[in-house]
Amino acid sequence: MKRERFLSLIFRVTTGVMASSPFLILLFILIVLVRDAIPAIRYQGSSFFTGVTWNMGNMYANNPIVHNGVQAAPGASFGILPFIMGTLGSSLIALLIGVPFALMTAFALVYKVPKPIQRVLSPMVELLAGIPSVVYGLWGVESLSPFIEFKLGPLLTRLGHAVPFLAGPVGTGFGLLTSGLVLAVMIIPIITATTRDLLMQVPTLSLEGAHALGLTSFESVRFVAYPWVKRGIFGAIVLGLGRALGETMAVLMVSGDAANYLPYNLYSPISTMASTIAALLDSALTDFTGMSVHALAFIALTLLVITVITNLIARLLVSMGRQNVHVEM
Amino acid sequence: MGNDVSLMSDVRTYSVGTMATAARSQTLEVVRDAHESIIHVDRLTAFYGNKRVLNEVTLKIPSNQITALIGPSGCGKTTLLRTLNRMSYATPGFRHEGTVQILGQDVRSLKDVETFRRSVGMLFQRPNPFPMSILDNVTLALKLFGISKRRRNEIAEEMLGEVGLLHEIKDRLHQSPSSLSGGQQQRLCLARALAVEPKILLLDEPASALDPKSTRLLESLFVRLAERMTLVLVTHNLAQAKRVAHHTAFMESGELVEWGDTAELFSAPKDERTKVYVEEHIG
Ligand SMILES: Nc1ncnc2c1ncn2[C@@H]1O[C@H](COP(=O)(O)OP(=O)(O)O)[C@@H](O)[C@H]1O
Ligand SMILES: [Mg+2]
Repeated sequence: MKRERFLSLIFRVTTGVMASSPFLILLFILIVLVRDAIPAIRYQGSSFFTGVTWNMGNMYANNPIVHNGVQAAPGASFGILPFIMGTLGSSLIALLIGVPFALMTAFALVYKVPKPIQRVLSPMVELLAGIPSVVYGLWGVESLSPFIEFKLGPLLTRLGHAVPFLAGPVGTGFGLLTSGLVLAVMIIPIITATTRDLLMQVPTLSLEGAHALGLTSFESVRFVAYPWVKRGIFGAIVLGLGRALGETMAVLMVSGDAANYLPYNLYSPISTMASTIAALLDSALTDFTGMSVHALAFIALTLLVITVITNLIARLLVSMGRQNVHVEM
Repeated sequence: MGNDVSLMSDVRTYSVGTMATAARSQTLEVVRDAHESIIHVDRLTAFYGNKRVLNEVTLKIPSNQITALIGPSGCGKTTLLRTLNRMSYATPGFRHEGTVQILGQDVRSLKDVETFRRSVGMLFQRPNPFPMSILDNVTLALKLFGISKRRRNEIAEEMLGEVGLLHEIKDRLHQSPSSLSGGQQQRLCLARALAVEPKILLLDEPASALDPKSTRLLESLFVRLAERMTLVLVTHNLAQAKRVAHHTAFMESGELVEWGDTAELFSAPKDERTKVYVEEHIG
């Protein structure tokens, strides 16, 4: 009896820890990042978010400057606005292009493609989602960027009169548009797979009711299947957005590695928060004051907060939408 | 969708009991062959893959009456019913030989299935309301067919009244159908089907998931609807067939064994198989 009670206690404690582990892990990462970033916050203050200049200072000098009680290399300045803009801009493009494409693919897979073909195509979506990002990056470098430099870019610049942001110069083909497109291609499989799985759950009986009523297959999907899954689709999109915001390698390869200016047009070189951390960590480690690493930690903290807030807002919207969607049957 | 539907009181309140009685007396009044047939099934043989599930079924279904399809589970009742409005065509591996003519059209060579299906409504074994408000359930198809919002709401009100839902759920029209009972949901589906003014209603064991009271209510509605449309009712419940159907067809192993006037089929079956089945299943 005693032994059983002991075992049940152990069980309760372990499951309790396991269950709260997502929260604990998040908390742990947050604490580490905040601790790491504090010196940078003291040094840079709020101009972190408004500053456009990122300069780790003269790291070969041996006379650190002192500001607010923390040391930094002479000339150091850590404005991350360009990285924030680069991240949000490229993710936005990825969503604008990737979401319609992914949704249409998922709907076609589930409702339009004959079953045998569906059985072949469906696992391919997972396959695409599993391709390492460096491969997508290489594709961006080899194929997409020349295409944008010589074909798509020049074409889009013709619309420059109407939409100034589309005006040239197109540049090298490495930049905002290329990054956004690579990210779009990367998030399409995730959103497609999630949406497809959701659509498979839509009750056949409901769809048959729609067909029997004389609705076309588009109408049945749009008005009967879609309401069942729209909350879930929203979640799928947020999942994709999360991936786009945090994607590092692929973007690093095609972003054009901008520093110290904001994107000036659709083709402008950019840097994202994630790619900047990866690109600059090496040289930041040589900063004898350690301040550059603290600044990178601050970027990481910002990225984390943006990602968490995005997710929270999405969840909020979903639960607000829940009240007037009649899907709980 | 609509928020401004005005809800008058339901003028069509009626009692279930009297309707059921009406049903019975009407059954007695049936004059055979006084109604032209509206559905012709001619030597229909159907397969799922290599499996034959209907074998040379020939059947004429008279208009403005209720025809019941009875028979043991798996004998092909659902397949036959779903071939009438081409729903079975969507089942992988389904194919058929022979012809089905409905409203003068050959079902196999229909140009416009959607328009055809507006005149052939269907109720399923379980209620299948759409994931939208009760009112929208009834008006959705009308909206897609381009009918004005005012008219849609009028029709919805009329149909919900017709199935006896309006006075039950007047204040819940904008809520989800999930709050309705099974019987109410099935009647909502009936109202939804009626809204597009079908000439034929296909009913696949529509009461099999319902309690006796809801079943009787639904039956009384069918009887009343038979005044203006043709109903084909698949049922495993022989008492139900007896209560509401003018004609009954008995199927076994994909074959149509016998069909005729309901009273005759039950009291004096011509085929031995019918006789055995009826004797076993009538309580
Ligand atoms: N989608 C399907 N694929 C293959 N066989 C089916 C399918 N649906 C029904 N069947 C088979 O066809 C036969 C007739 O089924 P059904 O028409 O549903 O009979 P009932 O409605 O009389 O019970 C049964 O043997 C059943 O197993
Ligand atoms: Mg059946």
